[in-house]
Amino acid sequence: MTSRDVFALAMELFDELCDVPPAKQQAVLDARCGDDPELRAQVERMLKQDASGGGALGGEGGGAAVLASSLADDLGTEIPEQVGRYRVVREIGRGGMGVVYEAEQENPKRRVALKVMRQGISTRQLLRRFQHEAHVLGQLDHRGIAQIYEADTEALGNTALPYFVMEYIEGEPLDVHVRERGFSHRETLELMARVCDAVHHAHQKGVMHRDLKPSNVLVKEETTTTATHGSTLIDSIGQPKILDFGIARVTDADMQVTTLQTDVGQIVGTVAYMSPEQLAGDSRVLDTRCDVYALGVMLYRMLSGRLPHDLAGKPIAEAARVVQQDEPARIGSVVPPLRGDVETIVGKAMEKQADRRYDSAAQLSDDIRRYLRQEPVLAHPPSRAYLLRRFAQRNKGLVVGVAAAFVLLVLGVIGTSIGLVSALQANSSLARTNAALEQANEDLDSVSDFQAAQLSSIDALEMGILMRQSLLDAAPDAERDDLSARLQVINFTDQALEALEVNIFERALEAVDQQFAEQPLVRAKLLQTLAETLRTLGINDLARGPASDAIEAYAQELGEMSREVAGARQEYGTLLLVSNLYEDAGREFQAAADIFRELDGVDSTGELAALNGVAASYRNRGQFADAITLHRRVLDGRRRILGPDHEFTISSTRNLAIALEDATELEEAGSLFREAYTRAREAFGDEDERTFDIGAALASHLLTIAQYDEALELIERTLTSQRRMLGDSHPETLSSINKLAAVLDTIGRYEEAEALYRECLEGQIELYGEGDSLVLRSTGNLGYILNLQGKSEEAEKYYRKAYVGLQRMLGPDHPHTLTSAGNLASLLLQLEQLEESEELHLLAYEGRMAVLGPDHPSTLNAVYNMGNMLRTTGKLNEAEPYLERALEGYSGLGDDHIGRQYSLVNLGWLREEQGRLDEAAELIETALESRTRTLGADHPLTKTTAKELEEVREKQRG
Amino acid sequence: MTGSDDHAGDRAGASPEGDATLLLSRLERGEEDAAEQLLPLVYQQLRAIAGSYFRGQRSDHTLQPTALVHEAYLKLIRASDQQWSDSSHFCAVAATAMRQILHDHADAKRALKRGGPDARKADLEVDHLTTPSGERSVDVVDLDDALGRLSELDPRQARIIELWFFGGLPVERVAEVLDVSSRTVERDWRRAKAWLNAELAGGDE
Repeated sequence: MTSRDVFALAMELFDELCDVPPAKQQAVLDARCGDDPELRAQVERMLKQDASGGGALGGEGGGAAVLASSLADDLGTEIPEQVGRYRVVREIGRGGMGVVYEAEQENPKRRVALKVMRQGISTRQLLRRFQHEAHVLGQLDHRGIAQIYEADTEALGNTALPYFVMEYIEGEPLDVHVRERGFSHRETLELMARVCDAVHHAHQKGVMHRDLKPSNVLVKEETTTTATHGSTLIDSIGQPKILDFGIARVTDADMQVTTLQTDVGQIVGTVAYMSPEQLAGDSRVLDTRCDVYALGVMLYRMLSGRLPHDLAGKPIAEAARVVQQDEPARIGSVVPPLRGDVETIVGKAMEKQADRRYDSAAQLSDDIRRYLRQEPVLAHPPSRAYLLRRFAQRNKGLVVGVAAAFVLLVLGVIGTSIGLVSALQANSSLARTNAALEQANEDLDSVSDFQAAQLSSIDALEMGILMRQSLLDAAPDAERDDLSARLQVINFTDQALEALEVNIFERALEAVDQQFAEQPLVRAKLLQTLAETLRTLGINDLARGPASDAIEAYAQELGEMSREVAGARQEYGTLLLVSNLYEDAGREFQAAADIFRELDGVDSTGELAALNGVAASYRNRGQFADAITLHRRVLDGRRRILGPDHEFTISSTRNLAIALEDATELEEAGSLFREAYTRAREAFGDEDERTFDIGAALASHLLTIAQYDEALELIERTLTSQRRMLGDSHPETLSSINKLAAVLDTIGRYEEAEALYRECLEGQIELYGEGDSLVLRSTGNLGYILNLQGKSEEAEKYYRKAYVGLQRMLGPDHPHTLTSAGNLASLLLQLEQLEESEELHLLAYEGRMAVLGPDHPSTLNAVYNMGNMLRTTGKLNEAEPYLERALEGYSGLGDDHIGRQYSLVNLGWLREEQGRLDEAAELIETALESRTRTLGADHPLTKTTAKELEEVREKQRG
Repeated sequence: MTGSDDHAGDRAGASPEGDATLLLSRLERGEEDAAEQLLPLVYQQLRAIAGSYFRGQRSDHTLQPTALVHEAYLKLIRASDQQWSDSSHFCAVAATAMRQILHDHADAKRALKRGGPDARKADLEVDHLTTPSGERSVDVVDLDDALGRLSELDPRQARIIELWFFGGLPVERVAEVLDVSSRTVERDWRRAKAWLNAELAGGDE
């Protein structure tokens, strides 16, 4: 029987049997095949295959899949012996574009990788272009890029087969390297940052890769010999080497007409790493950001082990649609630990819109490294909470003292309290006795005192400065200025505070209320501690709630007449005082003092502390006599109880001195300031902040009493200590520089003053950025000194900047804003911009009257300015009451007060203009005497005044 | 060049697309020589696409012959916006082309087996490089041999296999192309498949 016969019979039998149950098939086969085992075996095999439903042909994908798998091998399968002057050793790989061989070069003797492209070049023009591009590629010289030594063509029939000779790299592909070494995310990120560096180098030479993917990057274990120690280090991350840089372009874009097959193959093979714009197929719009996209996908793949889009098995058009339209799963949802920064970085690199990606591979690597260094990454629009979090992570040491102190505080207090409470509850028979409560309270006291002590080291200002600095430090040199400009609008102190407010305090308040609803005393204690902390940081609005809640909670549990209520009222009073609510503050302090007196007797330390608060509220309301009486009483009590060198006694001495100065009892004020300063130097030393503080108060006093030489000496001494102790750019140092400048401008040393004002301003801008309110005030100061020197146009520029800024930062009614408005008003008057000047004068005057009251020195200044403005614009009758009031008010501050001098002169001019020359001469003469006394005869102001007096006298005579 | 060329993957090809479109329409009208002239073009496209699929393909995902043929069709006429006409005639040409590709490829491999040095490969291009496994691992030479024998023994069965296996045509459409009854195609198809599978299973017995 021929095979054809067997075949025909087998088919017949198969037809008969294929729908018969197997059990019955045997009988038929027995009967029909007889003694032909070949036929029987054939039919049985067919039946078996048929029943299985599978078989070689039953696989998914059918013939297409079979072809696909086999065609991958269908490239030139013979290994050439020689290509150009290179001897081929072995094939090391093959891909869509060509075959790679290991080869040897004779001279220089080295091992090279030889990539022979599949597609020939058929025209002269294309050949020239290839040679040109190859030359450009040869220029790439970076440790992260496989060096291309040579590019040439090998004749093959009537075409020329292009080949590249490259650095031979012993290494494994990126993904294999990462996987097999079990790289952590951090190691993977560092490795990818190195890839980015190399890509950036090529981009700067104008070369795009366009086919970046893990298999195009080999990682080489790097052995580094350090020059200093001569030791050999193995870099555990490895040095990536990017292959085929620019080859996609050389062989694809410019030669696409001849490379259809390569092209198509390439598209499908690397589609996952291709950017949407690349997939859109318009090579004209492609730029380096398509490589950034590929880097993003590589990051995604290396970190998560999968690709952002599942494109497997999809036709090219569908794959392109997916890449262009579908949002990939965020990497954080695939690998939860990558939520946050890494997710943001990867997401930004893979943005579908090129202009929303990183502009360069360098920016991507910068951000990766920022993340690795725990600095803020730029991919974010930086939210406050984010900046704080990054800042906290990076400055772990500082954090203990700063941000985390709040967490520690809250957790610590709460934790300890919970412990206490459960201890109390365990001992249930005693739990509600007074003794137990007292014990609990004592323990809580010590806990929260400790926490409060920690808090005193927290400085939101410092925190803000560090936040800003860390951002700038992290920026690449080239972009630092730009970043700095953008950060100008941010007040970092506020940022720090707000972040704390939202992240820590609000949550802490909630936690306290919920956790301790059943333990009212614990809750009260915690509320009070929180309120105090908030106040220390200047978050006054938020502090008010817990502060008053604490009073209520204590009163309910312990009755109004308890030290706890008194303490809580005192804290609340302090809060009201710093919130400028002086009357309410006075009431709280008084109530606290009454309770302490009732419980502990007259002049107990508790009562004295509370009375100090009452006195302060008097002083702030301008009730100087009452303030002095009370401060005197507190000081006496403290001297008696605590001794003259106690910190509180010294503080009281200073407080009394300030009150006396307010009430123009300058002599006693002076001696008390000196006493306080001397004792502070002895008690705390020269280089202590408390000494600096009292020194500053004494210096202000010396300015008031026109003791400029002594003021100068004092401030210079303080400044020297501060420069040494704190450095030139410390906020306190800058504050002293500012004071010194103020003394110098007062005594007419304008140029020195200007230099110091500028130093101060520059230092503060460095610390806080230009938008900060302190900086704006210093900007105003610089305007002031420029104006004094007659540079009024330059002055106007600074004044306006200050005023506009302060309005925005502090609001229109803030005293600093009003000062700035007043200064600008005076300058505009000088510049004869009368309408605006008048408006601002009125604004400053009314604002100060409302906020500070009629007797405040700043209000007097506004009164004087109003008078001056009205006089200057010829409204003599309207000016009169203002100038008279100013003179009266300033006279109360001392015979030689600078305000009095100005008021005397100005009122003198008014009298002169009114034709009342005798009065005019008398007023100006008084001013001249005072100025000669305080400023000396050579001071420009003194000279001017003398000249004016002469003119009036002349008028009198003539 | 005519038509828009900004569609995904639609790069200019060596094949003049105008000709391809023309050939296709002639094919639709049943002009015999159109199929013959179209074959090399389809061959080129399919070979490129199929080869490329391999690199993006994972063994656990499906590559459908229809998708491959569809893509080749689109590339040939360079009009992704045009409705896929689902032409049986085109599928038939495509199936022939694929059969031809398989045969050429098998020839190359036979030559290699006869004496070419077996290249030792390093995993330079490992990305996605997964060897198709399990039931799909058909030896191309064996398959080509088996198909060759089948077409000698029963050309119609062989053609049915081509249309189904490579062209992705269902029974009814194969019947249409071959102008025989569905019943006949179904019977031959089942027979041929069982026979080929039995042939290819070979030594597994």
